[in-house]
Amino acid sequence: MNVPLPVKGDVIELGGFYYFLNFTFGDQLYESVDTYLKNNGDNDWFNRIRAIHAEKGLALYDDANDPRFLLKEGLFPGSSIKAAFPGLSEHKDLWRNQAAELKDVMNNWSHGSIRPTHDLFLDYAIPLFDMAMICSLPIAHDLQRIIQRVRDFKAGKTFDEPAPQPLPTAAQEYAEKIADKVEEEIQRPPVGAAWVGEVPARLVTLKRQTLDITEAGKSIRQEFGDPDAASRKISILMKYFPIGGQLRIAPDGAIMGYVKGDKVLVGWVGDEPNIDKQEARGFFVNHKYEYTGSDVIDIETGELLSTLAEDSVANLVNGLKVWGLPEGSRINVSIYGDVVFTDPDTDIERKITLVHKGIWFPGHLPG
Amino acid sequence: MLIALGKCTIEIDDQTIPFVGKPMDNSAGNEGDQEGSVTMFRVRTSDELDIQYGIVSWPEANREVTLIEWHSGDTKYDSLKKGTGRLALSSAGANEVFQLRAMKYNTTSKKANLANVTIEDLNLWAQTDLVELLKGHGALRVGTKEELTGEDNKTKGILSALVPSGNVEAVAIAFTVTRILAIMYDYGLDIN
Repeated sequence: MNVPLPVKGDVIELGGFYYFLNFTFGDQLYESVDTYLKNNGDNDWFNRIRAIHAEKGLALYDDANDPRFLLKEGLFPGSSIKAAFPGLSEHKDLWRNQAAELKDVMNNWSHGSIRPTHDLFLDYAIPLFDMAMICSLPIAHDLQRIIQRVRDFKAGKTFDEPAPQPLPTAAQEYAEKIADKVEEEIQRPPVGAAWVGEVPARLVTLKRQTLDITEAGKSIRQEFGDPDAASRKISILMKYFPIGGQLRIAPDGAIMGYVKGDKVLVGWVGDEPNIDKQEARGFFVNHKYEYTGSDVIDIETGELLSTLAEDSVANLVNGLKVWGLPEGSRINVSIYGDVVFTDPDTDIERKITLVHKGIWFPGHLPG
Repeated sequence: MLIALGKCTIEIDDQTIPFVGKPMDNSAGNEGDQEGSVTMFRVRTSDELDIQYGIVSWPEANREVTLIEWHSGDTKYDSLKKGTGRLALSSAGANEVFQLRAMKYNTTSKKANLANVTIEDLNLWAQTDLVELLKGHGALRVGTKEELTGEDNKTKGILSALVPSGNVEAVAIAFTVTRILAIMYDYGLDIN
């Protein structure tokens, strides 16, 4: 049976397809592993492997068909069930390289951290297709059709087809979660993104000479928090308006300014609402980073943060060290500037700190 | 007439009215007030600047573009409020020529003044091929002053436009891009 093809290619539909494909891939890989092991009399393999994972302090998955669990097990050189993984004995290095890459991408998707754009969907679906081929799973055939369809969307083609049969409930729930996240971003965009809604009535002036913000001639600096917080916030605003200028403040404290003629959310008077110390907000920006122990590298370009950031990143890098981030860790950054580390053992996503555009790679964060 | 130009609009008055003042062109004999005529145009930008300029013709002096009234706008446009950035045309046979220099913030003097500019910057601010747009509104050519008039003096290399005498639309567009949009796009400031 062919799986349905997406017909719209929007964020919500692709989110649902991610979930559906991931689930189907996991199911098929599980079937293959389970059949092999049961044929060899190993009926309780899942509980046994799970207990080993628990001993090692690794993430514990409730479902044997969660592809992340299966790939993680296949990645262990000492796995007691490695013979059960299709393709592993024939393509040892290739299998492990593909599985390692795929597991990271799956993790980010499963945490809802990836905005399902055409490009990012392909960045997931293509390694998944490669892995399905290596493992000879039937889903490879469906993936080929779906990848082609998404490439067509990307090229601007539209499809006047009836909506496909609804995806399973869990996939739809995932898609709705993604839709909520998109909506949240529209309502409360990150600093540096386009302003949504009316221009606020409250008009204030950012003063270059006194590094102050005044309203009708009087300083409103105290509204920006303690003196240090106020200085920090004003210096960030000065990046947008180096000669000062006029700003508008909304009742909830969001600050709007005109940047090259466009309305932009340039900051917050008080604390930005909905900030959770533990949980990252928003989708990841489309760049991959690695922490070197003394700097951050953009993995694709090889560029170092310390040489590109506008301001000193000494505090940031030191903060990563103090936090205990292991050298060589992959990190992600959300469009709100949350720096996120996903522990490769536990698969838990953790927010480390918050960065603004002055201390990050130019052009990677909004604004 | 209403012209949409990048992130602003230019509304040009249909009529020309009398205008008394002192010409910018103060060559011999032009020292005192003259009675000329003005065609006004009003520029409104996406960042809420609302300002009115006039293209003034004088009986005994070259045409010019001058500030008529500042209606409202952010402090970033303050230099325009003070009247900085007036534009002078000069006659070139049956035509007129004027320089395309743009308001640029000088980080040392902390002031915006007219400075040389590339056509690429002008296109970016106008969000279109400015030369084509100017031609569509009557301009004859854009090039260095030397290319347009054969002049060989210290301003010969400056990017300039040639229009038929009395042209209003191309002058208003060029003025708006080089003065107002240049400031909107923070010309001279390094903002990521």
